[in-house]
Amino acid sequence: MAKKKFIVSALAGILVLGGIGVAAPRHAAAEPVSGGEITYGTQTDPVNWNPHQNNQANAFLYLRNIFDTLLEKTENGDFVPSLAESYSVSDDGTVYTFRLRDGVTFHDGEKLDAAAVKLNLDKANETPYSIYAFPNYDSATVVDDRTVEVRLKKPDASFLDSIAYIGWGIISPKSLTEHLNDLPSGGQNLAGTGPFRISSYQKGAQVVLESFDDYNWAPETKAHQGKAYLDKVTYRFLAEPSSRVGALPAQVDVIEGISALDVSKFKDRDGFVYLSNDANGDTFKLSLNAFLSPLDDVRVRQALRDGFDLDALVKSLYRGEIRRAWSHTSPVSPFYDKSLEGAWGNNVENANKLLDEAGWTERDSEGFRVKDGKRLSVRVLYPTQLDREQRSTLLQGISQQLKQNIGLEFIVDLTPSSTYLKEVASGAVHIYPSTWLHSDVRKSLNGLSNGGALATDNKADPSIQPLKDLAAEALATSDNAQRIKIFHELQRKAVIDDVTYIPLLVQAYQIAASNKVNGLGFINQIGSPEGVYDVWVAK
Amino acid sequence: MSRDNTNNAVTNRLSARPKRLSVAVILSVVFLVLIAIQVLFPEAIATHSPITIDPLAALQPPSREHWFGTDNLGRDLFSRVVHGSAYSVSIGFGATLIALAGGIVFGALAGFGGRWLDQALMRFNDVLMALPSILLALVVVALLGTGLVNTLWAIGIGLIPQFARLVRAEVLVVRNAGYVESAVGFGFSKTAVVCRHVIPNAIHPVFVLATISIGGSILAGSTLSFLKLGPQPPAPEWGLLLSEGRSVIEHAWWLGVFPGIAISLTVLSVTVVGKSLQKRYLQKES
Amino acid sequence: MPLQSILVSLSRRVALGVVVLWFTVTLTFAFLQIVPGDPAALLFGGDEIPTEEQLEEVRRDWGLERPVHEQYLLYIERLVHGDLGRSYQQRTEVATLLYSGVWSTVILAVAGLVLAVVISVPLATLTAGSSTLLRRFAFVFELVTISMPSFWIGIILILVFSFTLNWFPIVALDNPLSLVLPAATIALGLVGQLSQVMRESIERALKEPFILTARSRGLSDGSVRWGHALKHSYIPAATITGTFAGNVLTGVVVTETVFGRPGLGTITVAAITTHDIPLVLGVVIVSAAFFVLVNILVDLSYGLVDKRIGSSV
Repeated sequence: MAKKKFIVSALAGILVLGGIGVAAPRHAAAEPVSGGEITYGTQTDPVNWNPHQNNQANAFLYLRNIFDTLLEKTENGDFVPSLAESYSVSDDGTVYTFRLRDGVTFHDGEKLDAAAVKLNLDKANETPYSIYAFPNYDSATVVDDRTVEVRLKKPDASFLDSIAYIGWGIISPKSLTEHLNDLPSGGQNLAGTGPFRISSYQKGAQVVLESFDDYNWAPETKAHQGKAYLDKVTYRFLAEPSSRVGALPAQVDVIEGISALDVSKFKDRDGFVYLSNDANGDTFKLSLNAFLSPLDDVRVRQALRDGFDLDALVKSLYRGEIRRAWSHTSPVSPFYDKSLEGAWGNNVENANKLLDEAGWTERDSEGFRVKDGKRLSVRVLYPTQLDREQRSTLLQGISQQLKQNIGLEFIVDLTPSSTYLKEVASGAVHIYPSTWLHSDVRKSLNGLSNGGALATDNKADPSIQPLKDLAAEALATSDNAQRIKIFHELQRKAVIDDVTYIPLLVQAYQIAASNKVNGLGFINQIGSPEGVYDVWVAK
Repeated sequence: MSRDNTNNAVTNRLSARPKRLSVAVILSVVFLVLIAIQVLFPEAIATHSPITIDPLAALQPPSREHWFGTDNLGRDLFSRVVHGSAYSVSIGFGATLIALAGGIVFGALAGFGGRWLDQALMRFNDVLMALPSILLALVVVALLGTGLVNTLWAIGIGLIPQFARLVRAEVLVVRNAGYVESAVGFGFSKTAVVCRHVIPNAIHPVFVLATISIGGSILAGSTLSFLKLGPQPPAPEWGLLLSEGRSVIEHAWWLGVFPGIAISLTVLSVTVVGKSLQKRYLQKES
Repeated sequence: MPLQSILVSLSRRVALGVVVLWFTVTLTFAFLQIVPGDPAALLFGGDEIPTEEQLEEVRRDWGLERPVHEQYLLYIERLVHGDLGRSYQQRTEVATLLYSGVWSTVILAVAGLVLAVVISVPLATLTAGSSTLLRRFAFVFELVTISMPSFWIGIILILVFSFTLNWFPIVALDNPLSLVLPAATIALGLVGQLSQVMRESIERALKEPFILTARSRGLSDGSVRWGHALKHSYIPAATITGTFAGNVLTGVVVTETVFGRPGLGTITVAAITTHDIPLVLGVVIVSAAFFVLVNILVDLSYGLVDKRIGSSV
């Protein structure tokens, strides 16, 4: 017998701890006005427009305009109705029943019904088509025209996160059946149920969205109901930060992605609005390969972690606009272990002692430590296309300090994309600066429990098994306190004991706008910029 | 088709303006000597280490301490520009050497190898010329990856056809002059004749083209760097410095200005010297 | 000029063009063969490790299991049918991707070229054979523009004329004014060479007997320069137009990147960074075809400008 709930979350309650609160208060000076249009300068031309296949957090602001999900996540971490007007979970946690909202249509005129949702869930869980397949997804069944039943292989706390994630955005069945191969390249065949639809898309240049006049099913997380305030929004892709900043306010109305240096142009300035928000999920951090010499010695990893002054570097580069990180997990995550703050780092003396103990006692002509004729050297692979917010500069700063402080050679290998993931998976890379943003519990846990095994074949190493068991337990349990406890344990192990991660930065998102633009904000689930449904322009 | 378009184009394009050894040429030579000293003894000229960071001195405008100011990690821009000259100059010279070597081999084979070989090689050359050199460079980078050495190849290969055409034309001119046949007739080996007479005679225009190519290659190298397809950070290659400086140019104009001036002045000096050489060596021929 | 000779010269040109294209295609095919590693993985590109199914798809498309000469024939056959293959990264036909960028690029290139001509023609005509102050200025101007990297020119133009003075937008692509600065960037990269070549041949023409005749008939210096000598500068200038098309392409790649404009340049750079080899090959083949076409057109235009030369080619 299933019990019916409207606003229930498997993780409810504890997520309140996370809070958001970093975003500047939305200024609701006047009554919202309908009509008008804006130009929005953005960083990213999506690689792929199919929400089931896009993993760029910077592209979600477009997709969230075009697509809706069955449920929506609130600031508190609760799940509230969106396309599903209600849902229920069976007592054993393996069957979820969704009751769909009536009268919802797609941009192409198709009706939202149980069959459409089943098709979407099945596609979103089909590999290799989808990158968001849920490991414990078993099947979806159409119960009646407006009811879908989803069966899981076993209870899994992170299922609703996937349901509410834009990666499981509901696409028109017509798009999915007739135009599947055209969806990645955008265009008008890409139909959803969201408040905007694609009017035109020019690769490498811009996408123009127009209001979907039938839209009348906004979730309660939104500030208003009915169709969007704006008639039209032009997202202009401006990859170069100085172009975005230079174009505001004369040529664009809103921009996202503002470097620390440029913040002062907008923050607390007349005529501008500036908002910033810490990302949920993971931090920007170094992933260390604990199976590759010399990092297979935990003393070397500790020395590396403590051999540089992260605070000074972050302060000089980001001027207080971006915070240094203390943990693998973001401080706004409910699973963040605050006790790690101040518990590590910048202890050069001890780092040198550890390296002496580990036998790296000789020095070569360039001042690097040497053991058995081999230099103490690690290679960091950081593909240039992931480089933003001066991260490669930060890595170079760390490299410089490690050389001066502890005689460790920290080679920052910046190469354009090509094959970096293959190289990382082959185990030939010492350090990979991870920029993945895991919004969901499962992926966070997977990352945390890898035990420093970057190589695919090391991931089966028996020494990692206990960590994996812990992670599995955290996913299966319905006891939130227990889940938090396991999360804390894993974070402490990864950062303090095993040093498989060295946290660097709390990732953050920024928006700046001309002050006639109102209603801007961030996506609750991951913290990146939100679509423009609630945005309006003062006359 | 004895004297090729290329040669004429080069002659036309670059025919020297100044009638005497002008101030411009003297200044250019002086500047190039300075660059050469920078390349050979960067330590002697640089005021700071090009890689030492100093977070407290980040983004300082030009001053007595930091002549060109500092970048966002507090590195001294003047010292980075000085050390960067080695990259730009080696791209200029390296790519030209690759083109020169390839051009001499292809051009000499074509000019000397008989009708069929000549036709085959020159049609192949036409194809290479039909491909814009930037495309060849991009294909090389796409397949081989980035880095200084690959940049040399990427640029050098694209220049080979120009050199091959010119060398072949020179070889034909010299060959048709008749003295090669007579020398062979007098029992000298063909190789010896080529080495002792043909190549030295053909060398002047090739030398001029090479000088011009150095400037072009430096420009092409900085362009690849700017597109992030050349040498990688923290190398202080000039194009890369500009690319890095661009994102903060509104706050720190010096990061977007000095490396650009360095590239432009170097290319300008090479061009002026090249033109002057051309006037000296090629005027009699045109 | 007799029609027959035009046709002969045209067909010779076209035949050469076909050979050039065939060489290019063969060259790209050879590139694929000599790069080490699994060609299927190379063609698939991207950052992630392709699954066996994905590799299988690539092998099927390219016939990689067959002997090399069959692969080659398949490749040629596909191209003859206008099929440039698929980009596995973008999951789209290469032809579709290129088509989406081609107009934007052509407009930019033509605008840049026209602007270059508009600047160069008066510059060359007014300063040919004279040694005025203007000539000196022209000389310095040409030398400086030749020596400056065009991406740097672009950055400076944006900073000064768009962000500071706000004269020309660069963001609003629908606004024709947004074309001004990018076109100027390309033009400034061409002006130096173009005006030098033109001046050179105008000067040569000014020494020709027919100019002396014209002058002796009492024609003014202006009408001699603009009416007669300029016409003679067309052919050398057009000859390098072939080479110029290459410079224009370079200019386009750089300019599109600097200005964040859509087009083939942006597509190319993105294709290289994502290792999208089918797309890179597509760009090379299409550019080569474009090149061949431009050269044929330039050759034909000789005939229109100067009949004597047209019939002797």
